[in-house]
Amino acid sequence: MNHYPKPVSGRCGTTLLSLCLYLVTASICMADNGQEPIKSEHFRELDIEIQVLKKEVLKVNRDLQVLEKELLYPHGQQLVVFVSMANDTSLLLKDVRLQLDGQVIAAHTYSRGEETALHEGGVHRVYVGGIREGKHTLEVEVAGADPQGADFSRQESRTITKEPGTCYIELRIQADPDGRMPAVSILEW
Amino acid sequence: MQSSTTNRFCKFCHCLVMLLLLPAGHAVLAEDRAGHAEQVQKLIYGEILFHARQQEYAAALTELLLAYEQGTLPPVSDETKVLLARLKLAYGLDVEAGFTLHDLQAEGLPPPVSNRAWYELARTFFQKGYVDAAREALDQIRGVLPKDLRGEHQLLVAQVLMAQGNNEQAARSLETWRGAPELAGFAHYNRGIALVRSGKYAQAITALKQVTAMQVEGEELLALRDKANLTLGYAFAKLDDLEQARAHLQQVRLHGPFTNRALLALGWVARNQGRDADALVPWTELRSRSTADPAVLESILIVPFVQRELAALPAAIHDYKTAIGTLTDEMQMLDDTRQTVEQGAVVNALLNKRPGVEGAAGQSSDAAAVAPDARYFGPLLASRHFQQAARGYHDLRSLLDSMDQGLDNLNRLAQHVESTPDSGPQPGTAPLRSSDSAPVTEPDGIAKTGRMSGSRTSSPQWVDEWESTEGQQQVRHAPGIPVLPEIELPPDRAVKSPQSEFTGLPEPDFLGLPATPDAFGLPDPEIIAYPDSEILRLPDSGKVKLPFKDDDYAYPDYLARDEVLNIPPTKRRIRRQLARSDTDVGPAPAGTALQGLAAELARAAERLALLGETTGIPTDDLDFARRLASLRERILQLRKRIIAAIQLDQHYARALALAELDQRENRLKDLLEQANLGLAKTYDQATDR
Repeated sequence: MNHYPKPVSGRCGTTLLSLCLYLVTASICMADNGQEPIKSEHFRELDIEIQVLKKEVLKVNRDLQVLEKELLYPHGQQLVVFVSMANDTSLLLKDVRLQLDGQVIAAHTYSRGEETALHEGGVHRVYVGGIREGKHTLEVEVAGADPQGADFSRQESRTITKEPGTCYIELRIQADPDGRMPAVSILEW
Repeated sequence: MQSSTTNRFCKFCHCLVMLLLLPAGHAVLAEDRAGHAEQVQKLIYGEILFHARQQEYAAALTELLLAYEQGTLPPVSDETKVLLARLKLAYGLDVEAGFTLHDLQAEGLPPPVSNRAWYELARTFFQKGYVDAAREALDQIRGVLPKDLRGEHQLLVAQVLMAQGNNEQAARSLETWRGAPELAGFAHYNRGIALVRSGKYAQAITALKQVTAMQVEGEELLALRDKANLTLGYAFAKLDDLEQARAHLQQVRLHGPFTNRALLALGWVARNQGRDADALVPWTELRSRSTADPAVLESILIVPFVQRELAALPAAIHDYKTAIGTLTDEMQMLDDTRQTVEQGAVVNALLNKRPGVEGAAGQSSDAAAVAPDARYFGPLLASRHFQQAARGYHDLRSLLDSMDQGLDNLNRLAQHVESTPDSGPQPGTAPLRSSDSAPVTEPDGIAKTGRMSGSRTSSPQWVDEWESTEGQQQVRHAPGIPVLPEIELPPDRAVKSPQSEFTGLPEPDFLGLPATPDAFGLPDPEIIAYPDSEILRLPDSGKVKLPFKDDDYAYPDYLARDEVLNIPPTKRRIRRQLARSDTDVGPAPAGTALQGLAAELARAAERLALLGETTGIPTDDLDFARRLASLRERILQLRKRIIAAIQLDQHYARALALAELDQRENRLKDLLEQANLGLAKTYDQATDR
């Protein structure tokens, strides 16, 4: 039996050709219908399961954070330090180093993604920890590059007064009003 | 005396001034505190943005939900209200995101603010194959869309309509292109495909010629032009214009993703024009190419067939024997691949591989790069189902890492409790989460597996379970979770470029056409995989530069229509409970498709609850040790559940791979049978002479 067509002409041949071309362009799923439920129903089941798990993970993370805060800082002995960048600055932030009362409490090197996030309005919580009430000295060292690509380094220091409740400190990186020179402000909120 | 009176008067005035200033001082102080509180709220909101911009959606959502709970968010604008829905969507909670958007709509949120979120939701649903839910989301879009979304929205609407079988309506929706000029080619192409599917070949040709007439640069657009030419060849053939068909097929580039199909088609055009010798030219070229492509396998059979007809019997016998050898070798390789797939190694490697956009259209060899056995999996990698399975796999691994991190933190907290019996305040305590205490990850995103050694030691049960099931796998840390589209499309959302997959066989009963009312027409979209030449293109975020993304494919394979579920009363109750307490969803959503998904979600959540993932310990219990133990138990239970889901995902991906191999094996068996028959006939013919 010949399984290939012989040369044909006329309408029949053209129709056959159309079919051939269709077969050329059409990728036919050879799976019979029995295979399809594997794809659709199983995927749907899996997708729903993943969504449920994601939600549960969020809940666990939430509970963990709450527990952590209650356990470590039950009466608000918390110090939180944020790093932010002014909207209009084109400074490149590379490193931040924090010292509290002469002791290094945090050091962070910014990745490209983190740096971009800061420029897009993000605020980085660089440190969270406990602190006794009273006066403390916070020293900040910031390194980066100015818009011209020249490296810069700035050091600032401030005496902060820890009162009852969480102490929020913002390290705002910006260019100074005059000459686009990098500046660091330590703000206590 | 006067001096004394003056002093008293001065003291009186001083007191009076102080008394007068006291309220003012309080006011200033209160204002100052309010200003401080507002600034802190901005910082917290900024922290959420910081996570979101880096695609750390779980962290962003956790912070956001906590801030909502604790009232530490700034007075929310409409945009920030939408942020929650968009974060949920980006994190992968698309059903919840849908409900949140419905809530916001019920609160009177102006449509233009939420339009982008509705579009993103529709696109997510469509990518998952929830076509009806996608349509419902699109129906929520009101008013004028942002300019950058107009074109993509138009393309998505057309795709959804086509997936629902409304090809004519889809073609009409693309008649006037409202998007960016550089995306017009996609609109013309999609319109052409919609017209082809509705049998309007002449109109389709007009639309497709707009694509081929465009001056284009870049691999993606060149590949689109090739596809348009290939489809034009098909359309002209349907109109019995073989010369035009040939002309367009010849315009397909000689080295491109669609070259093999074009060569095969050119041969058939020549043959049907009575030019058998000319037909051998493209087919001979084709059979010298990689046999991983089904088009090539078919060409090695067609050539000796034509030679026999041309009475070149010695050459035909030689080529048939060569073809049988090639097909046998291919069958052997297929068997070897099947064995490795059944062992799970290949599929796990494919799932572990982070998709990228490298490689030109259709020329990517990512599958082969993963493992030599994976050479057959180009179409599988490009398929929507496998893409979704891979995404789910990465999401689950990310969840697992998150739970590992949670256990790690719990261990530290437990140590803290043990060291401080009264669990009182510990000023100066080292932070649990500072930049220094963040989990260490390798640059390529692979976590150091040793970082959880402490908690693993204390939890041998799940360690054993995990290591016994996942022994050979690398632990991946926090790969990209579904993206917040406006921000950026992460690389792992990319889709591998497809390899050509077709069955260019000459007889309809040779491999079996799908059962359709019209065997010569286009098959039912529910049961076929649309050809690459008909795959729709939806460029990402208005950028043409991203080739072969997930979004580019309308439905490369089977698309499940949404099931409108009949929800029994008990389930309705569960759904209501879910809506009120568990999923932050509000009133009943508008669409039945979304309701159906929500009902399934509720059932899954119910199963989770029944399995005891949540314990009865109140979250505000003052006994920290009990709370820690309770949370640890929850995490361990959840971890087991995630591992089970990973195994389910792997099983699903393996089933997809085996189905792909089954297709190829069936095709090879048929080809081999035909080769043997052809050889026998040729011997007979030679004997007769």
